Amino acid sequence: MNVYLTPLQHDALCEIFNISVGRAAAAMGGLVGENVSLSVPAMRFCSIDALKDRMNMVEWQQVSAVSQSFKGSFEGDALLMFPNDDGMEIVRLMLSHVKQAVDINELRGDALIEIGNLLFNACLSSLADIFDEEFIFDIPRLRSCSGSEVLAQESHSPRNPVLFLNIQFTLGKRHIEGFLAFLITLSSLDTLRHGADRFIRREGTTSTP
Amino acid sequence: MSNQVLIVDDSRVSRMLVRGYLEESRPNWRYFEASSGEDAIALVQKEAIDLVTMDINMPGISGLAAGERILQLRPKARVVVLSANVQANVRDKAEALGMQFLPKPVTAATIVRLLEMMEQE
Repeated sequence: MNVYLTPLQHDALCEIFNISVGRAAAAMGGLVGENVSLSVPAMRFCSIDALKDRMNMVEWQQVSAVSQSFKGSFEGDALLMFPNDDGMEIVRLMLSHVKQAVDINELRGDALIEIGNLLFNACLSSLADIFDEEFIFDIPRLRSCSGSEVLAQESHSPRNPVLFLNIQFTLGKRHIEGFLAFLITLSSLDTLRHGADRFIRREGTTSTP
Repeated sequence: MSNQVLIVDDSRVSRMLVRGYLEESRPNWRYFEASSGEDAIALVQKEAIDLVTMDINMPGISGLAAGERILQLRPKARVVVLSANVQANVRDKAEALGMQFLPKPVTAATIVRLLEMMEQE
């Protein structure tokens, strides 16, 4: 059961993220020089602890995770996670456009950070425009760790909410799975709800109490 | 026509992409790189830079603050913000400070647009 959002607020946020991810797909397509299809099959909004259990994240042996803090009327940390080196294919395609001779392994971290930067900015810029807000971004960082460690951030309690999107990247015939998570503070939850309500009103639907 | 270009971005891959595409079209231009706003300002004090491509979100001062300072030092230079941060108010701030804005990712089409901007007064 979703304890954080009404069903209508949940639908509104799904729609907002579909718009955002569409923007991100266009950005990524340009980056890798291929049509990129990004799908968001499910959005989950639950506590960090519940998410770890539901996604069975302890099974993820090695995760490459780009994280970026953001501040605004709601704030937290955005994470892009590729379990088991799934991000390498995107990195290879991105670096195929670099004209100089490159060592993919040397530039892997830098390229993954840039991919995360593009995705976070596409999502949060859409949210900023829809919510009529401004977000300030910190510098993105890359970590390699296990699935059980990846959501452990000093600033978040395991009971804090996380907005979690399972994103499937389709590049040509290749399917790559990545996960996008927004760990937000409890105090930011009301702002997110109000933003979803404003979006619902703007779209001409009636919110249920 | 611009011939001294400074590429400012903390991402090495982004700098390589911008430089690679630009060098392909303009092999005779002279290229400089900086990975922070502070380094960019220091370089502009020494070199007569005509065109700056500027990321926004970097360690140290932001690209907008660095671009503003660069335009004070070199009022005739063109500063084009190249950023993934496409929030409307970020674009507005860049334009209010006398910079132009192009959204990332860096692609061949982005660089074509950049060169078109350079040819417009």
